[in-house]
Amino acid sequence: MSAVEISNIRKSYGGVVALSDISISIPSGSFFTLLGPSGCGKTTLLRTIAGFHQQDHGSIAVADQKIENVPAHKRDVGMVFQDYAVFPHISVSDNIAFGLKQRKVSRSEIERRVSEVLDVVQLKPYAARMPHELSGGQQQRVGLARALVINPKVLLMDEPLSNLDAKLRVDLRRELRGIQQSMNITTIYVTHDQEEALAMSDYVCVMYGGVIQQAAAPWEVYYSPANRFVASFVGANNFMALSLNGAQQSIAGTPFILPQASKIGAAKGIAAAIRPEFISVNSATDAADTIRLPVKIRQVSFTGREMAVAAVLSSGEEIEAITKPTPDIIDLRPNDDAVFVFAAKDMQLFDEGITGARLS
Amino acid sequence: MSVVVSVRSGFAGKLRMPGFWTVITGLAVVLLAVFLLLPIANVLAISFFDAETGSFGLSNYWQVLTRRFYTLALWNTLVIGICGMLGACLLGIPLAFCTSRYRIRGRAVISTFAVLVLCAPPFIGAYAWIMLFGSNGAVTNALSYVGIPAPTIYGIPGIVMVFSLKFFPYIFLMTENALNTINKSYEDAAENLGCTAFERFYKVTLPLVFPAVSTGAIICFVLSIADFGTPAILGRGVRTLSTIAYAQYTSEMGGTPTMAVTVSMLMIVISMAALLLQRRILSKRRYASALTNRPVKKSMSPVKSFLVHGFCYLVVFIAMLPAFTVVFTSFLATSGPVFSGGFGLGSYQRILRDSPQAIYNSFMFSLAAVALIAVVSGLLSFIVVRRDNVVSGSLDLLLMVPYLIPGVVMAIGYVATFRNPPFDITGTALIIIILVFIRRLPYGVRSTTSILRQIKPSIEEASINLGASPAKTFISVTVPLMMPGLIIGSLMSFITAINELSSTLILYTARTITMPVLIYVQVIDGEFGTAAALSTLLLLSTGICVFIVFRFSESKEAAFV
Ligand SMILES: Nc1ncnc2c1ncn2[C@@H]1O[C@H](COP(=O)(O)OP(=O)(O)OP(=O)(O)O)[C@@H](O)[C@H]1O
Ligand SMILES: [Mg+2]
Repeated sequence: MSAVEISNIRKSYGGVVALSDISISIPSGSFFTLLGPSGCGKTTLLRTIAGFHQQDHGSIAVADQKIENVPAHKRDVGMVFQDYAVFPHISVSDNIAFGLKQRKVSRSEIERRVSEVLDVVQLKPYAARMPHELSGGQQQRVGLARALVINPKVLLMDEPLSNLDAKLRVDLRRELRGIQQSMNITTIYVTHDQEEALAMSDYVCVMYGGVIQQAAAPWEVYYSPANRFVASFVGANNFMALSLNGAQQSIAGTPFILPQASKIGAAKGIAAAIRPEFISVNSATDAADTIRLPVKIRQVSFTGREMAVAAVLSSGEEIEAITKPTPDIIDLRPNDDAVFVFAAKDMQLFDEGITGARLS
Repeated sequence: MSVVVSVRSGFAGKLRMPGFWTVITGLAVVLLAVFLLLPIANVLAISFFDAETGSFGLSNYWQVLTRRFYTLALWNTLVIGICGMLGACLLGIPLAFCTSRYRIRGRAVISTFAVLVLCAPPFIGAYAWIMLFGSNGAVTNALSYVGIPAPTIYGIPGIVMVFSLKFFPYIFLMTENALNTINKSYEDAAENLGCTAFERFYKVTLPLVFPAVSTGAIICFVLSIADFGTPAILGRGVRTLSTIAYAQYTSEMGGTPTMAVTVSMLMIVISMAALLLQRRILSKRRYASALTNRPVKKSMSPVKSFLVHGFCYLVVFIAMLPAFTVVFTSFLATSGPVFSGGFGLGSYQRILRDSPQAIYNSFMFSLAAVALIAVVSGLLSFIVVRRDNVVSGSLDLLLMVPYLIPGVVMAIGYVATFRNPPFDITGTALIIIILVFIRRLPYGVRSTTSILRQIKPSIEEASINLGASPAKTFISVTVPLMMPGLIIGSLMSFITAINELSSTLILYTARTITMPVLIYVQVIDGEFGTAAALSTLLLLSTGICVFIVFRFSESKEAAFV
């Protein structure tokens, strides 16, 4: 059963279309992340669900009730804000009680539920403090507690961790995911940090230009991107022009025959993509379906766990490999000749254009 | 199943009720249309009907622009406006430069005095100067005793002097603020490139503070040409547009105040032209820079220090002289209108005995107007800042209008608009309260608007998201956060409301007389003792408000300009 059902939502500002006909259904209890570059419409979508924007058309249903025309204050969707938005003039516990008071919950009940949620977000000792006496991370916990305490049907979060420092961000994201799982609350989460998205989510929804490019489990998005945009936005990737010559294909003049080539058909410009971690440098494997591309080394950099080897193909296209640091790789110098080796099956083919469709 | 279906259609089918803010926006539009635009439109309409024949056309304007009586007044007004503005610049800019670039002892005293001068009742300057330099003034008499003829205070030079001393704080406070926020690196760079100190000031510093100086100057200009009390008291035959408008209006009582209105329209046109000119000039000069390198305050050699301190204190002391004179005079013993020598509280006894009504009215009207201002400015600023529609954009512009329309004009418009039953409110307290409210509303809105811009909208959205309706959110979240701005705005409007003269002078009756009106009447009648006692009372209430604003406001003096 899906907790949130969004169909054909369109939203434009003046002439600019920020969301064009978005349809998503989000399973109950799942952690659903909207991921995409700046300006792709993530915030707009989230705020349309919360009721802060009026959609041009389309419908939004939460727990089988249409809410797209319900005023924002009657929607019963919890929201956690990027800038915390903790009410500065009332104490932590009053902040958390705010929504319960609006719902005319009895005093004793408010007390019980506030104290419960304070435990969940580990803010018990801070209940009586004023917001300006809290750190950023603590304020965001107040924001979370305040949204959780009203038992919303869905929890919306717009980059809630982006104002925190890197270490705290990782800690809090584990905690956030833990709380979400234990309360089994359907969550829509916005971020443009792909590591965060992959690490936390049940589903990652990649957006670009107000359109959903792919919505799937994190590994699926990573290993099986639906189009060229997803392949380039999620994780690092090398793109090279693929030339067709009858049954034979080639990259930068190196010919080979692809097993997946049968599907290509008559497509004109084709981009081949290979992730850097699938490439080995100068390895001698002679297995079937391997592609060996001669390159000139540009730069070799050591990043701790691994080596990044940047090189350039004879066609001038740049290509990068990420491998284990072995002595012969460390010894590579700029302008040395080398061979990049990878399995043909790891290579994916896409149509031309930023959002070119996947061909293999 | 059927339950679910009915719930669905329940939401989907219902027409959206107009939201809280839509209703408030509607009310605001009606309020401003009726009490601001309608009276102005009426004034405008009157000016197109010939004074004698009543036929429609430009004949009134033709008269005003050709008859010597009017053209002379127009000339006087322009001369006074421009000279007053220049005089204020001449005092304000050097003062600002001294206090922002040198370490001045008692800088707080200087800026407090400047603010007090700004807030003091607009016309006490004029008659205090008469008491000092008038034909029978203290200084005049003292000088003639030793055989030196005193300079005359009457006529254009006197009016210009009073305006310069009265309005320079606008220039001073704005320029000082700008000088304090100039990135010092610019001046350092100029010095590094070989500019002398004077060249640096003239070529780099002054252009950088030009926007602030010109904004202050335009305020001085607009206030100078609109001011009525000073030229009325010091004019002695020199007529300005505002004194003509008032005189024509009172002499035409009962008939249509056609010529008064036409003259007033001319004043508005001049103010607007000045404002537009300044905007045009400013639009080409917008400098933004980060304040990474704060200007430092230099210490000076003893001689220089003496001169600079002397200049600063002399300027503010002379500007405060009228206030000191008024307070001093109020404690002089009098018998009737004549000072009998020695000190006494006679003047205070007389105002308490003869004019408690004026004192009571002044406070009641101002408080009522301020209460209205507080409520309306809170709501209006929310519309201006938070709502994004045509109305909110034009509200912002509309709220500039009261700054530009002289009080006399508004008052004439009110009489013309609200004298027909069943809406006849002329002669009531209500008409004065509403007029003062409209005239001073922009002060309140400006203050609440600036604080609302600092409150993140997400705070309000959080409240809505948690289930509080827009109205509830405004009251329980926005208003508490806006409180400092509301308080400052209210005090600022109280200061200007209780000192209001030009419009109340036209609207008052025996029952609705206020302190400034009474002071004006008494000064014209030569009753300086009681006028001084009333003025002291006004000064005192103003001073208390200034003190509280200082306590509440972070950027102290900047709150007043
Ligand atoms: N109030 C507005 N008026 C006009 N255009 C807007 C408005 N808000 C957003 N937009 C436009 O809509 C598009 C989507 O904006 P949105 O804020 O949803 O992006 P986002 O994905 O949240 O980006 P970010 O990662 O930077 O937060 C952008 O092109 C933006 O310029
Ligand atoms: Mg965003």
